[in-house]
Amino acid sequence: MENQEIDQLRAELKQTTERLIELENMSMFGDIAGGIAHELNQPLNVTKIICQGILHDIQKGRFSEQEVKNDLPEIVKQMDRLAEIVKHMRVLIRAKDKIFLEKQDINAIVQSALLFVAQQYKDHKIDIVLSLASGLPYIMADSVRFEQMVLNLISQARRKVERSEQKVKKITLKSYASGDGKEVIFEICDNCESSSIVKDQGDSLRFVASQKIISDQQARLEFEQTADTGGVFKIIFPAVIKTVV
Amino acid sequence: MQDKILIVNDTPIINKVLKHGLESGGFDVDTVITGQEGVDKVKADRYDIILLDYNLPDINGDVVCGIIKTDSKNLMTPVYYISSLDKETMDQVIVRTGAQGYIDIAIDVDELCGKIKVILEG
Repeated sequence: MENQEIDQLRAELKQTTERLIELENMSMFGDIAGGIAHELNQPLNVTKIICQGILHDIQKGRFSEQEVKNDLPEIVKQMDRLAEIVKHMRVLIRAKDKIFLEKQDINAIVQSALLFVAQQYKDHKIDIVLSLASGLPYIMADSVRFEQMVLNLISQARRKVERSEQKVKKITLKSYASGDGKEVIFEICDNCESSSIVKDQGDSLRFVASQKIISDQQARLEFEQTADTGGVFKIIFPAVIKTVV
Repeated sequence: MQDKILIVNDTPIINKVLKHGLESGGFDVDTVITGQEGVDKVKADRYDIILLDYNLPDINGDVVCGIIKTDSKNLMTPVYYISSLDKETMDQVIVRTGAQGYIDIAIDVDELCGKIKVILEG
C-alpha cells in the first residue's frame, strides 16, 4: 500500500473516531437532559412552596417575622444549589480543544457525574450500585473529559441493560487501587449475563470511541465481556502518590 | 373531628410548609421523611388521606403505596402521589400501584386544601 493511501486511511479513521465521539457525547447529553431537568426542578419547587407559604400567611394575617427569618436561609440554599447546577452544566457541555491534566480525586468526579443521572435511573428502575474505595491515590486527569467519559459509559450501560431480558437491572460502578498501589482503576459493569442480552454489537464501537478520550489522558481502557458478569469497562490511571484524605 | 393527613416527603422544609398550610385549613397533619417511617405510621395509625412522594431515599413511593394498600387499617385510605414528575410518568405509576391520583407538588396550599376536601367528601 502506498504511503499516500495509508495517510488517507489514517485521516479517515481519525475523522470516523471523532464523529463517533461526537455521537456518543450527543447521546450522553440526551441521557442527562432528564436528570438536569429533575435537579433544577427540585430547588425551584422548594422555593415556590416556601414563597407560597409566606404569601399565604400574609394574606391570612398570620405573618410571622420569625418564620420568614427561618425560611429565608432555605431559599438562599436552594438558589445556591441552582447556581451550582447551572455552573456545572456549563463546564460539562463546553467543548474543549485542549486537555488540562490536573490532580484529581476519582471518586469526586464519579459522584459529580451521578448527580445528573442517578434520579433518572432510579425512575427507570435501574439500580446504580456504588463501590468507591476510600483513601485512593489521586490521579492526573482532565476532570471534565473524565466526567463526560463516565457519563458516556453509564449511558451505554443503561442502553444495554434496558435491552437485556435481565430481571434485576443494575449498573455497578467501582473504584479501587491496584495491589501495588501504582494504579487507580474505575470500573463500570452492566451486569448483563450473555444469555439475557437480546442483541448488542455496540461494545467494540464504544471501545474505540472511549479509548481515544482515555489515551489523551495518559490512562488506558480495558473491556471484557464474560458470560456471568456482563460487560466490564475498566479505566486505569497511573496513581499520583499522595492519597485522598 | 379533624381529618387526618399523612405526608411522606423527604424534603423537611416542604413538609413543614405543607403541614402549616394544611393545619391552617383545618386538617390534622403528620409528616415523615422516609418510606419506612411512612410504613410504620400507617401500621400504627389510621389516616383519611396519604400524600406520598414518589422518589424517597429508602423505599420508593410505589413500594410504600403497595404496603399501604395491603394494610387493614388503611385499606380504603386514598393515596395521592405528591410529586414534581411529569403527568405521563405519574399516570403510569398510579395505574401500576393502585393509588388514587397525583397532585403537583408546587400546588398552592389553598388549592391543596380545597382538593383534599373534595376528595374526602367524594
